[in-house]
Amino acid sequence: MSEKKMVDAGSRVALGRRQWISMVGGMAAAGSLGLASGDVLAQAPRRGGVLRIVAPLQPTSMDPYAGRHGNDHVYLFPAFDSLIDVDLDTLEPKPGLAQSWSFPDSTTLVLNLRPGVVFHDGTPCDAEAVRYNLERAKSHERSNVKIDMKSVDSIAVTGPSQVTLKLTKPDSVILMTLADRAGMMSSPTAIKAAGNEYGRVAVGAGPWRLVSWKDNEKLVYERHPQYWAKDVALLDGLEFSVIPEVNTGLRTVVAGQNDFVYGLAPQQKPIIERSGLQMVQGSTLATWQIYLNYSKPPFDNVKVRQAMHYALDRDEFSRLTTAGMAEPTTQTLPRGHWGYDKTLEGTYKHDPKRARELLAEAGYPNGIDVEVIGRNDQRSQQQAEVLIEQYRKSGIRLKFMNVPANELGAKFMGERIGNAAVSVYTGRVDPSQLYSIMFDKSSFINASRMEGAPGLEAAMEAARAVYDKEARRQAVWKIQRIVHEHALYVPLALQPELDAMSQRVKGFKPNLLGKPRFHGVWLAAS
Amino acid sequence: MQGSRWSRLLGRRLVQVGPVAILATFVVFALVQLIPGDLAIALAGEHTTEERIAEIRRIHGLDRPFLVQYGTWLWDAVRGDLSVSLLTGESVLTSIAQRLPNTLVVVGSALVISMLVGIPLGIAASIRPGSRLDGFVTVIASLGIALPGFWLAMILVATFAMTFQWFPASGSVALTEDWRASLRHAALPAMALAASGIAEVARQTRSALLEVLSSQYVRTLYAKGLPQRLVFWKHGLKNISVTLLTVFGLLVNRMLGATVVVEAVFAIPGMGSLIVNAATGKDFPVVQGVMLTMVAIVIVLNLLIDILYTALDPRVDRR
Repeated sequence: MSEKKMVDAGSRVALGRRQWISMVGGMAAAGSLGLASGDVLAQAPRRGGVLRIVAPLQPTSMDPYAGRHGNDHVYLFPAFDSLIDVDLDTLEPKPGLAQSWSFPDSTTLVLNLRPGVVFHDGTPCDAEAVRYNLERAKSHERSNVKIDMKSVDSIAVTGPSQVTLKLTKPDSVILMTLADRAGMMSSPTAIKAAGNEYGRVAVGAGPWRLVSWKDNEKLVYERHPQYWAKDVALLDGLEFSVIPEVNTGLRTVVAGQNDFVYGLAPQQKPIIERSGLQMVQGSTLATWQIYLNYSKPPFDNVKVRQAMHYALDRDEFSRLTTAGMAEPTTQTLPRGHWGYDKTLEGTYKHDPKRARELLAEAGYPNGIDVEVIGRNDQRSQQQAEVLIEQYRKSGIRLKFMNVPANELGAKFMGERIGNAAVSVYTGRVDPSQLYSIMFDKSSFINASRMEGAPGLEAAMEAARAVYDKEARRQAVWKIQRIVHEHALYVPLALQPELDAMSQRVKGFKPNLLGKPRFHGVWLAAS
Repeated sequence: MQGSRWSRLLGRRLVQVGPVAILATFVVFALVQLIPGDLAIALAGEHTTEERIAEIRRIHGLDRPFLVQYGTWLWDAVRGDLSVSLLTGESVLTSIAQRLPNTLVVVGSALVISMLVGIPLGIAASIRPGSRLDGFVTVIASLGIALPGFWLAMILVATFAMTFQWFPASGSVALTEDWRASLRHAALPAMALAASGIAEVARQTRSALLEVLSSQYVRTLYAKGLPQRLVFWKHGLKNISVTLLTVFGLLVNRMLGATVVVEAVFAIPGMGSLIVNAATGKDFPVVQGVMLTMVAIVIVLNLLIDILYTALDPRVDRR
């Protein structure tokens, strides 16, 4: 049963891939591509060339432990290998710097490291280096991943290529923790030499090494000659140009100044189609959603929260704000994810009448006034206009207070002003992480600072305590159903990924993380 | 005698540097506190707790009283340590060293354009006050002052970069790398900045020249039989040089401020974009560092102008 479902999940993604390939092929047929799709597949990958990438933001830090933004990963992936890798189609763990692992008991994790791996500075990536890194993740004052390492009690070197982690309690999320920032290994020599400035230099064991970082302008990488895996670093180098304005970014690719741009807005789709560039699109884990503060009225009443779902027309929201590109959702996980719950499909269908009834049952026959904290950028304000109009029809009067993006957290989650906030949540690979961040009593993002529904904390604990795939899926579904039934937040739509690249770029695949990775990408001869 | 005059001037100016720098950085430091947002929350990342945010405040000293924070920054700055950016970890000195040249090229070009175009326009207008030419110059000057720099910048990009493709639309190149490319990149932003400069220089030149030409000693010169050409070029222009120097000094200050907007339109990695990013992120070490650099530039420039005043008009020193 479990295996079958996994295959199902995989094939859905495979279909996505095929769609992508056929889309490229379709564009070729339409004459917008120089090569037929068959040629694309037939060409053999070649080594060489520098891929010039446009990025909307620069990394907040190149120290994986000190960074703080989801966009950082695009810069971290080339420079750092993590202990556990992720299958980008299903988001399941696969061997990384640890070529195998085992749980001899529910609170012990043994990692067997790949022998012979070296960091960019020649320091061996051995068991001692891994122990040094994990201790740093767990206790260094600059570490923002401390909270992810909470369940790790001790880290011991148990062989030249073996590290054993003792956990305070069973924690199946630990694998995904080690596949994310906490598992990205840095050279201990470089960390010790750079001190607090390590965030600017980044010495990992990834396929490319960071050569230079000119603030808010350019990051340059070149191939790590001793990289352990073949056919990953096909490109001689990567060059990221930081261009915050997406239209300018796309223009530079159209003009041939750059090869690849990511994070484009749906409104740019027609421009890409006209330009003759390759277009890449897919669903991601990032979700637009309405956060609710259910510790105070009116959202302390579950019926009012449910009314927030029924009053919403997600299809219209997607159509008006993203030209239909965004996948409407009532759960954060995209379809390809192993934790996606099909039974939740079709729930909370748009029903303004039902919303009004629920409000009346909750004691608000005249509707409610909701103070919402929103972001003041143009795209967010457009979304706000759509939401105001949709909710108005059900007697829910949204009053937006629009603030700069960096102030939203401080206002809604820090000062706990307002009843709701609309923002994008970048998501996490493991659903347990995602729900902990959203609903844990002590999590900063949970503006309510309380357990949202009876049994939720127990369900979250239980999901971390099981290791078997199918049992985990069932446990995750249990959390999802509690969250869903109690309407603890209002997911709107999954943020779509939209990238554009020149015809020379081959072998690139979008992923559920929505964060481009250039492993295996190559440039055709010009 | 000459030497002591300069050293006196220099001494007087240096005494002013300290208080001006302290006052300016203190006011800016206080203003940064008023900017909305919480740096500690931004630094903590997505998955965090209130305890971790408190820890970050402690690590970066953000929990200390305002005056202590400012005092610490000032003490470090006096010892030559401008600290590192809280948001990017980059040394503030490095950031400034990378960006200042880009801004200076743009502002420098704008100043040259302002003077080269503004002075002849002003002279032309003053030769026959009330003439058609004078009216034309007045209209140009009024437009230059009235048009917002960012609007003009966008029009210039649309016309000369996108349509005719004579100049690049964005970015900058270091002077040391390729001076021709550097000037080509600086041309459009400099023109946008120079519009108000040209206007100001033209108007000031015109009114100063008219004043000089209507003064008694000029009448005496005419009475002595000097030709108009000589009176105009030798006596008239020399006497308005002090006015032009004053205008020049004011223009530099204003353009250093106005470059913020123009840099944004042309995506130039200069001091303007540096301070905007830092201020919106409440990254106070960077804001303070940029402020201090700007104050230093303005003070040094004013000092140079003072020296030139005394050279051009010895009465200035005697006053």
